[in-house]
Amino acid sequence: MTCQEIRDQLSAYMDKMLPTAQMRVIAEHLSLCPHCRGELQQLEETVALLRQVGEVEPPPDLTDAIMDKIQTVAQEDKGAAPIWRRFQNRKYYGGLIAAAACLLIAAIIVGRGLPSFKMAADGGLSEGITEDVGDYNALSLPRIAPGDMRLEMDAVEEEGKDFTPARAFGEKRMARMVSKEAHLTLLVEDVDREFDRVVFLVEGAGGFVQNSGTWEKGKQRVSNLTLRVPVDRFSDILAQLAELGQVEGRELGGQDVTMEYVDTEARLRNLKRQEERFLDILQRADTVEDILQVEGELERVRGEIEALTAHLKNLDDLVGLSTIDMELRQLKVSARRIAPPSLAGVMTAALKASISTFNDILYFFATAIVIGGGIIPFLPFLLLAYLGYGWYKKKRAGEGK
Amino acid sequence: MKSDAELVDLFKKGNQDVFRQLLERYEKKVYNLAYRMLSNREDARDISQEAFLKAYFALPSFRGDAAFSTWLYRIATNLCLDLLRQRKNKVVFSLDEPFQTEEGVLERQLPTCEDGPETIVEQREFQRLIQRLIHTLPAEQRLVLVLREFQELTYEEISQTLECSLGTVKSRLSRARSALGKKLLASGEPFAFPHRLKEGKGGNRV
Ligand SMILES: [Zn+2]
Repeated sequence: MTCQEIRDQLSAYMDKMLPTAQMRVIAEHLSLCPHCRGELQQLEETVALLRQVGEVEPPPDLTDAIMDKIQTVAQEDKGAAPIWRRFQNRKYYGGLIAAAACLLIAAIIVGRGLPSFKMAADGGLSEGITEDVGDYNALSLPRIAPGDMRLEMDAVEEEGKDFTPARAFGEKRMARMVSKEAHLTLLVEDVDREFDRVVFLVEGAGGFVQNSGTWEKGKQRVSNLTLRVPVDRFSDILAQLAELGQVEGRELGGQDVTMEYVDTEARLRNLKRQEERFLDILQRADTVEDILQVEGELERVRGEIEALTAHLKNLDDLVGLSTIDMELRQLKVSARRIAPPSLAGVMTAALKASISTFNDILYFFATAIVIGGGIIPFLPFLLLAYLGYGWYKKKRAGEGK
Repeated sequence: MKSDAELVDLFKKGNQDVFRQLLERYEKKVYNLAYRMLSNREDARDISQEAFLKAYFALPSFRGDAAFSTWLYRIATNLCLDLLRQRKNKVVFSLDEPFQTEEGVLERQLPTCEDGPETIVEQREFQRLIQRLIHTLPAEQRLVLVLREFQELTYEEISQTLECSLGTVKSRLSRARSALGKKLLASGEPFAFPHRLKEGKGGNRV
């Protein structure tokens, strides 16, 4: 081991937090190396100094202030969840629900986006609960990052594509060439175990894992896999994969590559004709200059042919092998436990309910606007909802003081 | 005296008055954690209040996977990090501001260790120096350092509080300690390394 490697471990060595063998190696190095010994001494002195820093005294009235605050909040909300109650006292909360209801109805009337809308709402809900049950976050509203919202909207848009008339093209002329793809997000108890199962399942069905990765995202273990599976097994593999965990998001898409295919084939034919012509000219060329020029052209054409051939092969591949983008996320065990029914437990549960209601409302707005497009006149209500949320946060921040 | 777990149990069974005992037991710890993280008594007070408020309402769903204290520190820690994120680059820490009003307080915390700074003035200077230097560490390093050296948690408890691996705790703590050591040396303050001064080994001070 180098001195640097030793030094990186001195802190843990000091606390005897290394395996015995490691401890011995470092002790031995220290006995021989005065520099590392100096380093250790400095660490020890630093820690000794820190330990001399006494504790600061909290303000004497803090205990009572906290107890008072708790009593106030608990009293204020007796029998009802705090947030629900606070919002109920405000006139515009009714307006908010009315607006949400209007949008919901509008969304239903618009209709076509409904399946994906439901998906988005479900995803949001379960996420909200995962975050809040058994978590100390219980008092704060779930934070809906703008990014998440956008993601859901994109999903809706993606789904919408399936309905475009572009699909009809080619059906008359030739078999449609569609590259199928799916995104599947699963909540699982053991990411690594399910990861292995996914690989097993896909390889057993004649597919393969194109790439994959696993990491800790925040507090959650997450695996991403890009799977390629034979197109004729696509649906049934997808169904089997979905059974490995709790489906949090599922998105199906198909890209119609018929047009692209036909186009590429035509260009390829054209280039091949050019190639023949150049070969012809080459035979008849006499000056070196001519020969060089024609060979240059020939080279360019052949390069393009190569590229287009590769592209066609790629398209064939896309159509023959479907792509499944999969994300495995660790399910927080807490999501399935339920608090004992004490008063505070009931309050927390009610609070959670109000949080998911609120969450739903936000999703309604977001989704309805995406689907409806023409529901822009409702934008002021969306604004109102955000203002309400902002007001709530501000109020809470104010109470914290 | 009842253990934390027993108190939590009583609380869950509906005897919510026992919360006061938990509060009294951990108030100082949480306050100090917040103070060391935020370098500001106002914020430390707010964070303590919010942490216990959250704890009170979330306690029914506390599962007891980790110790109550760990769980409570996690709440406080996250609140601190949230606040730090909010104020981001704003430097709230000021050398004089938090200490001017607390001389009386500091007198009560003279260290028992004989090697420590000897006079009250020295002690106060020393406190300021340490807090100032700690404050220059990146938040996650500071956090591990505070939990280890001030809250005196074990590596295991730190990893539970921060929900990270033992390896992460080790490496962050290592970096924090050695960075702080260098900063202390660089500070050139006479009481930074009293041992060295007394033993005449101050030669390598920058
Ligand atoms: Zn060495």
